[in-house]
Amino acid sequence: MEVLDWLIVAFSLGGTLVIGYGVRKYVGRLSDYLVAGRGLGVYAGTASLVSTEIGIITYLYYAELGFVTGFSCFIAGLIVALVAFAVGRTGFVVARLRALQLMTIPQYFEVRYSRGVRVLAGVLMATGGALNLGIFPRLEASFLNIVMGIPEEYLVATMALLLIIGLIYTALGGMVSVIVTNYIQYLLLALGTVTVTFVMLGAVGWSGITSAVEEQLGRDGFNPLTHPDLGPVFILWQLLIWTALMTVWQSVAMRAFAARDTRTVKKIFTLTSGLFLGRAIIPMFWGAAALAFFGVASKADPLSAMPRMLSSLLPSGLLGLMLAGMLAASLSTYSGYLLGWSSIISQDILKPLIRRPLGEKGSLRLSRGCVVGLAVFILFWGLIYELPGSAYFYLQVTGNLFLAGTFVAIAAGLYWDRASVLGAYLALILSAAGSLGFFFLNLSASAAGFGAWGLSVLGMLLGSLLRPSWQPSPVAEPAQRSSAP
Amino acid sequence: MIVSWELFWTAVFFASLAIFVTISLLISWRGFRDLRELFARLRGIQGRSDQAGS
Repeated sequence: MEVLDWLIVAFSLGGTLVIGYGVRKYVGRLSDYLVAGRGLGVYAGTASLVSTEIGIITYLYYAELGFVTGFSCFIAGLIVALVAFAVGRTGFVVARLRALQLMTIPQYFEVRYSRGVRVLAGVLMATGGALNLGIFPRLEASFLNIVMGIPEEYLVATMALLLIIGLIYTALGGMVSVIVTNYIQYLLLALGTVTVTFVMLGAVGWSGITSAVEEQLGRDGFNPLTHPDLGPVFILWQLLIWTALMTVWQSVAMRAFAARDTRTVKKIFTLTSGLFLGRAIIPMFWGAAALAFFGVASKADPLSAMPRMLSSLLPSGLLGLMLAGMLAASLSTYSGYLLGWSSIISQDILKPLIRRPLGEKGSLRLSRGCVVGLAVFILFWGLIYELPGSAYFYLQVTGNLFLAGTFVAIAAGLYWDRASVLGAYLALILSAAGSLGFFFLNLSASAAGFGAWGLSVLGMLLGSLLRPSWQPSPVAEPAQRSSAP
Repeated sequence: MIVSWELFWTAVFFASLAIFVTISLLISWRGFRDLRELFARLRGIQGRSDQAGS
């Protein structure tokens, strides 16, 4: 990496940090810290949502899929876009949650079910979320070391540096600084992504990539229905998990909570669907391009093939731009996720357990303390945990620890008056038990995922029919009054 | 069969790239205005709480 590249990276990082630090003066109350005073507009909201959900790890796992499955995995990108578009057009779940003036997802469980359900959901979400986030720093630091030519022995230092920078402006400015820095980071990310894609198209060529996929993966590289790692079961599972991810995933839902009103929420999700298509398809294309660049026979590691290609393909200046975009993507993900999961730990687990009012300042201190504690945990988890297989499947299974149960309990609570406390408990517990099959029973990710969903629905039905509550869904505040937190 | 899948994924890839570029341009232009409005709103809230406190 040349001096020019280091300068571009340093300037973009420093600038983002200064701006993120500078907006902390706007955070006076807990609702400013967690949901930016509920003043988020359509375009800044879309940028914030998308840049939080894109990190270096997103490029890595999608490129790994593209390298291993060729164009077949594009089906996953189509599913994501389709689900996000449907959520945006209908406002399914997210519009109702926004109208309830919530700050976290488990908060809904206390409003609709009981405090115990809220704490249980909080524990499951914080566990799954922290385990999910726990592999980010190691994989991303490894990517950075490969591309920047940093020796592998500095992996821990790169991990720590990534987390510390993300931590500084998250802990200080909360959602306000996250939104502002997300906007700047999105612009860098989009510029870097599009530029690199055109460079790859120029270097390897579309026809070169399709020929390589056909030659090395055959028919399975194009047809998702016949590929052994994909197929109809994978497609159905993706539909389910992305419906949950686009509605009850804390960092996604927080953008809905921070939006000005329910109309803004719908517009954010509709625009996001277009960007989520590119978020999946473009890195998958990079992975397929790496397949053409190295070939399967070269024994390139699927996870590191794409970064190795980037480091040998990109000229100085462009490498710096791409790295600035990638780092921006990762920092926005850290800030969004650290804030999202730590807000659950502080608001939904610790606060209900403390049982005494903390006041605005005490709540803010607790939230910031949880952000720091979570960052320390994921640094250590990244160091001790070895991935059992594909990063994509690990991330989906850890997310599924709570996603199926949370989605079922929330959707039933919003749309089914008979949904009860017992049903919610069973949905959450059985969903987590189903997902654990991936870790302890060696089930495939799709089988464990389906198991979790099936058990969760069964638990909600059984619990609610055995001990129904007949409690109507909480009445939402009118959208016009939603500015008051 | 490979030919039809290939054509389909070619269309999907270039469409997703075009959509990504278009929406990104829209965000770069309109997102800035959103941020200005957010700060005006937060300043207004702070001003009201300062008045209430004094």
